[in-house]
Amino acid sequence: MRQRILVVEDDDDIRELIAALLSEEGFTVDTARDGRDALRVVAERMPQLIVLDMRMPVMDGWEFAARFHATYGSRVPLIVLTAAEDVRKRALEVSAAAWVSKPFDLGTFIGVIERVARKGPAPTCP
Amino acid sequence: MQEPGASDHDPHPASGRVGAAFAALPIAALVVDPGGVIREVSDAARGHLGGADLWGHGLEALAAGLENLDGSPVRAEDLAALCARDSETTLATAAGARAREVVHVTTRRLAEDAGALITLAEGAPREGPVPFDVAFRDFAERSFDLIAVHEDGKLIYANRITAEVLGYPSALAMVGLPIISLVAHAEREWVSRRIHALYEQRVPVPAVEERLLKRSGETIPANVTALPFPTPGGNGVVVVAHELTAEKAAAHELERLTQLIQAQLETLENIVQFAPVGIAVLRGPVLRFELVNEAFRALAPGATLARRPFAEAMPAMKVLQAPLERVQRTGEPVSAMSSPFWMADRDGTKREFAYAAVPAQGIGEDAVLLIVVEMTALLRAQQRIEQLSEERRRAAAELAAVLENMVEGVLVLDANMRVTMINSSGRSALHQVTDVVPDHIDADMFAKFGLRRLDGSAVALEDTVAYDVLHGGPAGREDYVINGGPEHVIRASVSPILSDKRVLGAVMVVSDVTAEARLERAKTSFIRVAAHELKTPITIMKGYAQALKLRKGGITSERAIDAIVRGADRIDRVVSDLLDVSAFETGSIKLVLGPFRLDAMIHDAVERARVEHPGRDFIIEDTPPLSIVGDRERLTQALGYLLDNAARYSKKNTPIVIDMQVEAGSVQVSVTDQGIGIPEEKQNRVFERYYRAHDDSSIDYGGIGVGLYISRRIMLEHGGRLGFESAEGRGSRFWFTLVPLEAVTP
Repeated sequence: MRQRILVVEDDDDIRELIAALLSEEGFTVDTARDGRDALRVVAERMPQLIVLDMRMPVMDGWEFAARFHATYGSRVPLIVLTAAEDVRKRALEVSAAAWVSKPFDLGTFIGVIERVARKGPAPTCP
Repeated sequence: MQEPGASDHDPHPASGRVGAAFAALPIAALVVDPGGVIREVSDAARGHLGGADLWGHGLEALAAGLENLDGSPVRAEDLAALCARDSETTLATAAGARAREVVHVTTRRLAEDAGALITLAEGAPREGPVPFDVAFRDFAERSFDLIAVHEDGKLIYANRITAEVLGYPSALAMVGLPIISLVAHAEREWVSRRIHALYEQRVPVPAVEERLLKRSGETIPANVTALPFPTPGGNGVVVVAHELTAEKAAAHELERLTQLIQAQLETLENIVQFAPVGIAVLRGPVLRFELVNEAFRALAPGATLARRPFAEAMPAMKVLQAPLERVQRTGEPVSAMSSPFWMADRDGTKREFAYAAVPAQGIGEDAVLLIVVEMTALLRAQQRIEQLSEERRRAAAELAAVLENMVEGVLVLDANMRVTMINSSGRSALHQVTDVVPDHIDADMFAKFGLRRLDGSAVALEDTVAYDVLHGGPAGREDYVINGGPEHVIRASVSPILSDKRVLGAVMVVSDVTAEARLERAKTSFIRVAAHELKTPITIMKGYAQALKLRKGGITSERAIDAIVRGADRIDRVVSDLLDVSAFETGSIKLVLGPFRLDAMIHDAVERARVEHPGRDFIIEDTPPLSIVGDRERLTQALGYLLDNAARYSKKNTPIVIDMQVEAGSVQVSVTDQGIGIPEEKQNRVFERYYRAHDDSSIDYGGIGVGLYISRRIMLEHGGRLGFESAEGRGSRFWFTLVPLEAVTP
């Protein structure tokens, strides 16, 4: 069974590149261009993993994370993707499982995603 | 205590045996026991004392039957004193049933401490002449001098004054004392020699001053005379002492006053002679000089004054002739201390004098005392003081004017940190405190000015640079926010006011550094924003380049190269914007001017915006053909920022309307959106460099905060204007006005 992954990123070029890479790695990829878009997607199809940009128009990464956790709990791991200098702090703020700072190496990026994905959903997941 | 008739209570063992025999004695005699109780009374004694039965009573019963020769009562304790030793004295029986009579009282101590025997002899001692006759005693008791009689060196009589002055309880109590015991210790030796001489030679000794010893130990001076006196023993001496205390004090006082007056007279003489005031006494019809002091002589060096007429001897003072004559004639003094006259020195220097002339009747009927005081130095000093204070006033006024008109706010603090001066710039820099009276500003001055630390905390006086400076610290500066918000930042630079290394106060220069502080904050924020703005295209370029190289994600080379070019364009735009800001800041921007069609330019700009923001609805309302002169590229860039902002700050499904209005002599181009608008409190800052009105929200609207700044500068360079109307949550309308070509060259 292919793992479903949601990529939330406002920049079209970056979103398309990540989606293409993850599809090639065997994930089923959904995309969203901001936090509100992402909430709509997860309501339809819950992913096993979310790649989340932080600074976005309409609804940013913090608000999405807060709403997502409030509604669905924390069983789906988040991977923060940001250009901010204090990426680690951002990751902690939204209880992320891992982070990738922009700009990134493709190999590193895929490595982080796969490591989190291999752990699979939390044991409490039915 | 013995009660009358208490004999059975304590009967004397002897009374039974001797009582009857004692009573029968032919002399008046009593026996007193050591406790002062009368144990035996002869009938003769009872007869003397008016028949009272004294047996078993105390000495007060005996005293009641006696009195002193002057009529004063005899006290029981006087009798007890007599009983304590062998003595003789003269008293009187108290007037009672019998006539008053003088009795000679003798006491003798009984053997084995058994008490005393008292005998009373009528009228006079048994033998010899009667030295203590009533007349002598009456005289002695009335005298104000101390009178005593001694025999063999022991007092047998002293008058009441003696007891009083020397501090004894009674004259009787002094009987039996050695006469020498009444003399001061230091003088006993020579006094004692005098007494011996008197006893041997029996001639009176002249009065001499001695010091008598009071019972308290004090001594008093007295003039003492002594002469032989016939007493029962035949070897008596009467001593008369005249107390000198009051006379002595008066004599000393007189001497002191005499000396004082002498000294004062000498002082006065010295004053007259050496005072730096000219003094002269003039007499007679032509006012001849009678007396002059040193200072007066110095007024006419070399001139002979003595006995010469005033007008002749002192021609330089001829103005005084008439006033002096008036004083002599009328006897009314003249004082002209405040209206000086002048005399020329030998070298021609004018010297100012004041004078007074008074009648000197103490010297003579026609004498006039003339006093002349030189005022030159005083007047010059006064003039100099006035001149200096005037200069000081002017300097102070100048300084005040300079300070008042300084661009910087200036406060002067005293050593106690009170504001003693504040200029108008200071008042305005510190906002709304123009009504604060400087003198009333105290330890709470920072609070009263509404100053707080940059982090909003209150300013503790002891932690300020001003406090440090006033306590010897180096000059320094610090920043405060005013009125509790971050909107106004005040920088205070404080320097000490020193005099002789002592800190008298401090000068505080305050300036409003709000703009600098804002720019500082904006720059910090800009660096963060610019880094983010650059990192996004770099992420794109690096990602696609790697994907191409590693053949990942099935990305075609065409797709990758497109993305890389877009990324490079974005970087180029950020860098261009930064260069533009820098160029406007340094004034090195150069416009490439030329005529062009504004309507066509608007269409071009909107076309670019449509590419940048695919799917957005840009509506061009009305663009009549119009030519202007300007830098087409720059104006396109400026409009581009307005269009870009409108697209970024409004929702995708709302239209953006571009309009162009031609009016007399000007054209206005506007861009209207239905976006989030600009909060009112931020509207005055949107043209600042690096300012992003929505920077404090986490939502990313993109941009680095320089678009409106650059647009406005471009408009200003063209002689145009850039403005906007905006309502938060409802949208903004940005516009610029330019002068069309027809208006420039009609």
